[in-house]
Amino acid sequence: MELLSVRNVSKSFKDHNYKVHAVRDVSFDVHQGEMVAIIGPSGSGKTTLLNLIGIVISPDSGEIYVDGQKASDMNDAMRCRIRNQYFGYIVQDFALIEEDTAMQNILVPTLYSKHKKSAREYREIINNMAEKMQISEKLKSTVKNLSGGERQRVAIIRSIVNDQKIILADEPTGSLDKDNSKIVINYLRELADDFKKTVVIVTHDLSVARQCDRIFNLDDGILTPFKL
Amino acid sequence: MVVKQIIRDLRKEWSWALFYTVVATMIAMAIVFLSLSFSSVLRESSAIQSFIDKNVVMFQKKTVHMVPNREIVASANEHKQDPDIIMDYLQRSLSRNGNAGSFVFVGNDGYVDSKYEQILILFGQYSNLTGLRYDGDMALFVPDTHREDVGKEFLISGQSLEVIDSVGAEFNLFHPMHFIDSDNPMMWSNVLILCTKDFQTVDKMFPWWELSNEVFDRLVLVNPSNDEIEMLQRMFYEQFGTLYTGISTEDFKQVSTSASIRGHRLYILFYVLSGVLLLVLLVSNIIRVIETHVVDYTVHHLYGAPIRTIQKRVGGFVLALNILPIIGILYVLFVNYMMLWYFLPLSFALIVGLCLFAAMYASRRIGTMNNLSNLRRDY
Repeated sequence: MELLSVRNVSKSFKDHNYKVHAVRDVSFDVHQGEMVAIIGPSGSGKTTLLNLIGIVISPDSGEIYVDGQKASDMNDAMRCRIRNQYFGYIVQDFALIEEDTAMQNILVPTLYSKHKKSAREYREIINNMAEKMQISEKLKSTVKNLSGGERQRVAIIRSIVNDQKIILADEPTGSLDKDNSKIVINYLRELADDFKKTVVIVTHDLSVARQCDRIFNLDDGILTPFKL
Repeated sequence: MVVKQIIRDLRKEWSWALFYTVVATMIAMAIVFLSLSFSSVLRESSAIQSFIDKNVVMFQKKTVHMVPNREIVASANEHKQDPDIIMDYLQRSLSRNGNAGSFVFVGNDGYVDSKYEQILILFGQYSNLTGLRYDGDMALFVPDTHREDVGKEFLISGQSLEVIDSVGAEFNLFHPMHFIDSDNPMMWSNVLILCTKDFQTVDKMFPWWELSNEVFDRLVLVNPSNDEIEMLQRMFYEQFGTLYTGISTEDFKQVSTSASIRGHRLYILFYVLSGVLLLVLLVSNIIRVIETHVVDYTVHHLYGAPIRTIQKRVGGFVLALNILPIIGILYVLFVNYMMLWYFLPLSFALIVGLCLFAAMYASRRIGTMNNLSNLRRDY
């Protein structure tokens, strides 16, 4: 069964006097353990599509199903609950709270979890992941003292600390150098292959897109399969 | 959890919170103090107007260098100070049919209950000028804080006098050279007021106070004729050898209180503008704080915090930021008897307004079309 299903979704918004169709009648499915890339030029609607998939906003028309649940017309509280349970987010500039420590940032999703674990359990989970990503000694450091690569790894751990099944990544390597970009993409690949996480990456970098199982092209709001 | 987040937000903005608390308290106190001071000036102005309407002329002794006119000096020397003339003048002019008035404060040297530290004696027309009415030649009034003594009889130097009423909460004592406002509780809470139209009797009741000297220091005539003024000045010069000049209240106002009122208006305008600027800065800073923390709020929203939770967090932060200076201001006002009834609801409305604004702004900023764009820097 598809973990994520998007059916005829459209979204537009007003920009001064113009109506901009950010997403037009988009449909696609993503299965569990799949890594999918969405590429397209700047302003093509990729971030809007990601907001829709992540049920941050509701579509003007169409439906979005998450693990069989119709999430597109839920109220804000329900959408928050679904997001907390299913989605992790990785963005270009890491989206970390600079004044907090890496550990505090990673724990943010656990604050709103309906199935809270104990503090000890969370510490154990986080320590295991941090060790795997080689940032164990950085957990107590403030984020502003971390390098770009370390920050992105903290963001990755945060995106799965609640055992979220879907990772949405918006230009995850945009702020990283070549080596760190490779490391991050390898981690995401590992999450998909070994931990059966579903990964949706928005990128304009074809070398990143090549690492994925499927590639879509979004141009002027229209999604089409992309073949290399 | 929201409370913990609010406390963390406050810790991050502690320096601004402290700065704002100090500045807001200072400006608010200055505005309140000036407005109350202005109220006092307005009350004084109102009392002055009442004196002007009644054409009250006040008198002042003046020391001048004068070349003696030998004829008048010779004539004056024939009339050495005659206490009977002075007493006769005071008895006539301060009676029910006279048009003079004055007032004197005497200490309560065992005359009445020791809770009254002073006795204010209002002679002649002065009781009318202060709004106190009574029949007979003498009457006692108590301050509003001692209404329980109304109806009681006090024995003062052999005179049994009944307290006929309290002076009321708005009682003030105006003389062009003195003004004791009604909101001076320290002054009015322990003063017994004796009104009299019989100067001689009262003079005998307080023999060692030399009341006539003090009476002349604050003597006023109500709607006098020129002849009456001349007669008084001549009598004064002949009896005391001192120039005794009269000035109408209207003329006095021109040189004194008008400038005071203008000055107060300017101060109030300055502090009100400062208050408005402070409010604008406060709102701007609330926006700045939200913009600074938009990543924080967006991340929490993305990872499961409903918009309502974010609104509570932001609203709670604004509440905590403003509650301390507001409580501080209200407390200082309360202990200084400056608390007016509308301060509390006004403060409450202001804080609620700011909290609602902050909550609405945050929700508009977070729940936008491109939420994830909040987390990106544009390159």
